[in-house]
Amino acid sequence: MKLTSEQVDFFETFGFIMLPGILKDDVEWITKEFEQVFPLFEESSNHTGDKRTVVLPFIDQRKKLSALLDDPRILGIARSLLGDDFNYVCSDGNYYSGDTNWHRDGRGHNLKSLRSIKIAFYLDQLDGDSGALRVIPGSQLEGSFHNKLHEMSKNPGKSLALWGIAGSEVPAQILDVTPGDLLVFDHNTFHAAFGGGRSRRMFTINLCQHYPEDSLDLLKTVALGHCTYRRHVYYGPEMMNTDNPERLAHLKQILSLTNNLYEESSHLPELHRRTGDKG
Amino acid sequence: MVLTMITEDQVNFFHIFGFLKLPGLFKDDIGWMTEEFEKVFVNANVHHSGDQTSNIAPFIDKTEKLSALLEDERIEAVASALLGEDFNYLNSDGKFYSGNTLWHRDGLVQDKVRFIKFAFYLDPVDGNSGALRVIPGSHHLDDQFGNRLGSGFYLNEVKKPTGNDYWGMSGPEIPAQTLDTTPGDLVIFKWPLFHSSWGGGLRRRMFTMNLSERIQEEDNAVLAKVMSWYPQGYSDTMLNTVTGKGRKHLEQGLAYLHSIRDNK
Repeated sequence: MKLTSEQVDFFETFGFIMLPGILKDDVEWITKEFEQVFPLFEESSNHTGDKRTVVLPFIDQRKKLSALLDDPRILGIARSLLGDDFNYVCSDGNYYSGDTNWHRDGRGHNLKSLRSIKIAFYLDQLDGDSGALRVIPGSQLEGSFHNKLHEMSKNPGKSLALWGIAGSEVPAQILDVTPGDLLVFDHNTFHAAFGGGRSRRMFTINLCQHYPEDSLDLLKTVALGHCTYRRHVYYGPEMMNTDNPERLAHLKQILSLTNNLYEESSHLPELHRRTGDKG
Repeated sequence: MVLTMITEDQVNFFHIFGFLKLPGLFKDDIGWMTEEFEKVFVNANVHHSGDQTSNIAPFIDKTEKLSALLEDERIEAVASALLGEDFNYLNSDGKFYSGNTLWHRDGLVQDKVRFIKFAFYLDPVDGNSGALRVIPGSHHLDDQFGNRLGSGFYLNEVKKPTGNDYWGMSGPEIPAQTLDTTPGDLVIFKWPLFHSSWGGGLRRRMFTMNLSERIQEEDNAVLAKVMSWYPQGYSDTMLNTVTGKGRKHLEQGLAYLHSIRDNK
């Protein structure tokens, strides 16, 4: 399943695309798997609602979730937007709480990087008043509009100082979502969420184009930017537990750059696994 | 001295996003404005059937009361804040809209001179009844975003879109901000901002004023192009009404028109 040329052109123009109901028959098992990940770690086992609880990498922790990277629908989206040799960069699973101010994604990523995208799976029904994703169409493209928005995003609440309006009043496209929809957006697209509850479930898969040899330093910076705890292997256990050559092809470029990850992540805290559950 | 009708924050917002809505700025004037609007069409013997949009341009020039908007302190303050105190009044139009207006930019696509439109909607409209839709940020002419939109919209305009012709979508499905309006609101946008309206009735009343910043001599070609659209110039009603502080907003246009006549 590939995107149509019109869908690709829409994505490249507006910086996002919504694919309604594409996983609607899978929401039940995906939600069950989602719920299974958080208890695996001390750090994520108790979401109180006071702040966001995140597990990263996320789908890597469960066999079935890891297999989303083999799913023809996900592969179709990724190949259409990034090419057949795209990289799987990381994923995160979240219990969101409260607002997320305007920002663009990409740790170590910038406008000069190759294209990176986020595929977002929302497991709760959301609209503009309950924490749905908002995007600023076209804001991913280089130019003065992007630069002005970048100024705004540097400090939370700066829209109030710059334009006298709250973040929720910034002109944007609100993407109401039903579980089973997929939202895909460019890492450079400015996005936010306002008015949501304290336990909104969402996870993402982050992908990027295959980097040429002369830009591998940049890819390594991007990858290491996603490391938030110390580890030996960049990807999680269930992501690596495969002999599917297609999946391995999407892992190998970053794996080749992170042979010394344990040393290079020595400044980060360890993540504490609670159970022996292998998913 | 320019009155504070618009804040610096709003000016910054306008320049970044390309539009601004000032709710209720003319709410106490909507009665006479609507009467004058109707009068212009009656006097011009234009009977709007609803089959297509009826347009009269120039428009506010047709009556003293509408011409006097150029002396109105609210127009003066807002336009001065956006364009400078020596802004130009260029022209205006009044319309009974009928049906959809496709995605487009107004006027000249150039970045030498700032042009803006003041829009007065005389009927309440929302996204399902013909409200203005704008694509924020699409007016930055050097940006890739505006260029890509231009390619997408104009490519499809050739096909005279009637269905899902924009990236496989219909016009109202394009990501945009819908500016619901109540009569008395003032909507302002930059000419290069992509805009449209969808789902409206057959008799939506609206008039506009087109303004620019004072144009530098080296950009006279831009002034010439715009003024050529209305070779009749300003009406005697306008010239006899706008004799006070608003007169400076006609100066550059008048000077250009006189120079054309002198050269004939």
